[in-house]
Amino acid sequence: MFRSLLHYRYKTLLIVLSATAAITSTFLITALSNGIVQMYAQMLRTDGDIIVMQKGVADTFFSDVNLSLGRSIALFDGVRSVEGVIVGAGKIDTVPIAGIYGVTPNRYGNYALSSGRYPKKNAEVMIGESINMLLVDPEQITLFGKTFHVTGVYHSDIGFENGGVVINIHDAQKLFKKSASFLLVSLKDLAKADEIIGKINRLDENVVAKSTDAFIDSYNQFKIIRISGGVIASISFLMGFLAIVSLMSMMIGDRTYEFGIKRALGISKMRILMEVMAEVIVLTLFSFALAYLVAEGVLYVLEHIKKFQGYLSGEIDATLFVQLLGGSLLMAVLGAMIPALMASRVDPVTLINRGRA
Amino acid sequence: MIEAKSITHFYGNEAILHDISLTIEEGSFTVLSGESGSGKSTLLSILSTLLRPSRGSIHYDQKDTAEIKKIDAFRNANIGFVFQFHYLIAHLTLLENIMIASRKEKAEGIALLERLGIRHLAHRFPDEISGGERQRAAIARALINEPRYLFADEPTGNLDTKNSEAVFDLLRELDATVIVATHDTKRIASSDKIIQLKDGRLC
Repeated sequence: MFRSLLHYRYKTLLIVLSATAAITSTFLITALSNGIVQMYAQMLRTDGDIIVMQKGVADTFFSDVNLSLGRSIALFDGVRSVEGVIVGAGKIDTVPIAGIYGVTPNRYGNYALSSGRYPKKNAEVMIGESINMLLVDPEQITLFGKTFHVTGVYHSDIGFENGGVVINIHDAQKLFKKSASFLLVSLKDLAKADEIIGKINRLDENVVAKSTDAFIDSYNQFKIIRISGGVIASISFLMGFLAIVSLMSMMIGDRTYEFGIKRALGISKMRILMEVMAEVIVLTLFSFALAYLVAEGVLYVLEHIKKFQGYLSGEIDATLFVQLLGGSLLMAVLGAMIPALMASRVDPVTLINRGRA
Repeated sequence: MIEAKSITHFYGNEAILHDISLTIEEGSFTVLSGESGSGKSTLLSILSTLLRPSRGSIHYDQKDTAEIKKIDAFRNANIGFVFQFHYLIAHLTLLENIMIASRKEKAEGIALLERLGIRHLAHRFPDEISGGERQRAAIARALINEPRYLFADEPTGNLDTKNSEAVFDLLRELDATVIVATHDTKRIASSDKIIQLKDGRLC
């Protein structure tokens, strides 16, 4: 079987390279877009069973919720804590853009300090490890023209946070001119979630409360990222595999002579078809394994390039792996099966003569 | 016994064979003779089930080949074919070429190569040996399954006189029904039956 692949080594190499490129790009695009969604979703899930946002606003960046509402919510039976968060982004010294998280002091504990201490008063901030490595003077930073003293450096597994700055929510209110982007409500008993959501929605008609999971499922930004990532990945995958299909057709066209001889000797159409399928499956599996290794390598490098502040983080999960493997095999098998089936319907002598022509 | 009944064949709109009917007896050595372009190769391909005729039918022991469901398996079990141009597969060794559709053990393939005097070339590739050696390998491939019927299309077309004689001697020795298409008049004399074709018609 491998003899024929070696015999047509240049076409085989082209097929492997095309398949590897198509699968790698699909892996990367999907993993990176999923990574962005997962990082933000994980950030919201941390200590947040319910998220309270401004009603009628599509994005947390544009939401403005009255922070004082948190004090009323905290009094509800079953509520463990309420944290206010302002999410923003801006230039930090020489770093062109980074996430800025204004949080109530009761959220500081979510950030594991690797050095220093948590901020205690206004104009004090802590910074993530990734951005700490990029700053020329990590002792103090300038945000929107105001100087802040850096009291500590934290580590977070969430790339957006590890490459960002955490400031007191009162300072953030002044910088971003809003009370809070959203409130994160932590519950003592999750069974009471629906009851508490109802109470919050009745408390202030300008806000909407949802369970964090429901919010993540319905958040438009996530949908846009997932859909656009999916569309780009699909186009890239399709283009790559169209190249494979045409190469495969050419290779099978080159082998009509061989198929004709085999048919003349009495080898069945089915056996010839199975041989072609086996070759295609081996090539696809090899390309898939290669693409997986390349994609994992690229993702590792992207995650560790200082300049990207850990924002480019992607993971190839089992679902993506299985879907892409199935898709690759299906495309490759179809691409080879159609010309092979067409060839198998022709008389052996015609195949031999066609191959010799 | 092979019977051809009213065989007509077209390539496009051009008729290559016109209403040919003939019978080939079991165990005979039959020569299909005619000038180049007379339709010998097409008739041989049709008789050997490698090509379906546009009209008419081929019968093996009274059975219409159009009714044989597994024609590939039938061909594999009963028919051997030697092509004018050896048609060995370039990326397989001689032994692999011979065994490609064989139901026999490898040792039998080697024994056959020995019988044909090319045992020492078993692991060579087709482009590493001479034309005569390739043709002998092609004959070995046709014989490996011990077919009842052996078809040969101009088997000596590319061989010198010495090699041509050797190939014909070998074909005559076979315990099979042999049908050879050739325009080589020197080989016709010793056959049991001569079928003469001219412009796609029996003479």
